[in-house]
Amino acid sequence: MTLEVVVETLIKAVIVIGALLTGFAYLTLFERKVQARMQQRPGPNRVGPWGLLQPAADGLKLFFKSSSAPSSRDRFLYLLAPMISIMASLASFAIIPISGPGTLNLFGHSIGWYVMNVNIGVLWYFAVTSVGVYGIFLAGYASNSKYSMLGALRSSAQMISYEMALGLSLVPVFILAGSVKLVDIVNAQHTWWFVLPLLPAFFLYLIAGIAETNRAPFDLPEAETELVAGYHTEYSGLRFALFFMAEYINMIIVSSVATIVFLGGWWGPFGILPGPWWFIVKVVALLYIYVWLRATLPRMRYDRLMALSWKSLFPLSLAMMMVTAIVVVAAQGTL
Amino acid sequence: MVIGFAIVAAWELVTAIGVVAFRRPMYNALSLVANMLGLAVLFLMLNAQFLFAAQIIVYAGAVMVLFVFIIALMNPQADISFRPRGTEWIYGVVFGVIFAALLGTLLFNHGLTGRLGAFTPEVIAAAGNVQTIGIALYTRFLFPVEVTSVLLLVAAVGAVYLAMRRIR
Repeated sequence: MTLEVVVETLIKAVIVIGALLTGFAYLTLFERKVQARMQQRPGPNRVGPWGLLQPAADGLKLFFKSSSAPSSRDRFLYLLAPMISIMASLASFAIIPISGPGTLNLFGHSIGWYVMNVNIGVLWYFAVTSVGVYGIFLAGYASNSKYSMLGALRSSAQMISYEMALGLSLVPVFILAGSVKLVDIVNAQHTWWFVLPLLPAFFLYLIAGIAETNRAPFDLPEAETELVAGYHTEYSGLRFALFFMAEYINMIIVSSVATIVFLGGWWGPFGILPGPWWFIVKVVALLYIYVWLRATLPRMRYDRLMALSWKSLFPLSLAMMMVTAIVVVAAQGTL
Repeated sequence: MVIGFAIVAAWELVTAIGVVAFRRPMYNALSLVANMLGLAVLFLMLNAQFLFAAQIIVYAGAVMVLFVFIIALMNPQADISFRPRGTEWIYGVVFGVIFAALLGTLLFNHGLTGRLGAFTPEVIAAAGNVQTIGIALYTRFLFPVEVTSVLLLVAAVGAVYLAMRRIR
């Protein structure tokens, strides 16, 4: 590994983190605005034109809030938990190629449209999110509070259960593309987006992805009617903001992965927009679905949530995987 | 590469000591998690990217989460108190000598680098890391894979059966 590669990766990482944090800030505004319109109210519109400076005001408020923490906390783990959460969310975006094919030519260098193009591809995303579970669980444990502990237990059980369905729902894509590398998967969708032949897998992935990010209607870990705020009840100020960021960035990442593996990534019809814009349009459309669901559906009961994962999504994704494998083998004429 | 290995090796040693040296069960378990993450990085440095991901997903992400769950729910620190009997060090010495002897024979008979097998980095890079492992598992090692999966299935069914009986 040369110094040039290291510097290039570092610069790209800084850009991606900056973009994700900006994306997070405006995603909160987007959510509040869309939800407000769905409930026939204007939403935030006082800070700046159309409320566009609202995220900055929120950030400043959180920054200047005094942080309070329970005195019986586990000091080290209490500090570690939000860091694990935010690191896991930021790191998983590293594999997402936002445009292509080929590379961006800048200052005489050819630069890939991703931070890294690892040959395990999507497995990197699963590995990093499975570490992210610790952030939430340790937050609940270290807070030494009943609400936090219950929220953390629910959340970790939910994330581990839905990770199975999430992973298996992507296997048909690997079978069709013949690779787990995200760049190869997008290139394989040049003529057909995988959402067309694999529509059931796309829906399985969306449902599992929403549950994996602990969003409505699966937001049991922070069911405010029973658990105050779940695992981050005892967090305030900037430490709370880190959990908040992690949740919204996870939404962006689930939408990005869905865009890459099912919606053709940077490919768009008619070639009217350059690659990155198609990618962003598709991600925002998926994020809109997230917000839409939150404004529409009531929260599920916890036992039904677990039953949905183990008794419906898991067998359905296994079936989808087998059907795809059989069809692919039959199409190749080797059956 | 050598500097990277030295850093990860030091990390592995420190976290391994942490597994046995901390006085609180939660920290012991989390040290084991840190140790497994370090092991995954070692796999990565050996060009085994798939094992890196599998190690993190399966061990750090699933198995150890259950350990941490149990420790948080049972709080063994408060419930179980072992009184040291003063003879534990004998077991420590016996097993320590056995493991040191095993490691020593391995080191002197085979060296640290090992032999180059059929799957050289070039062969793997040509076919793809995940593809190579997949083809090997489902052609050459198909029988062991299937036997292991049946074993795991039996264990899962047995666990469900035991849990069901207690509920009734």
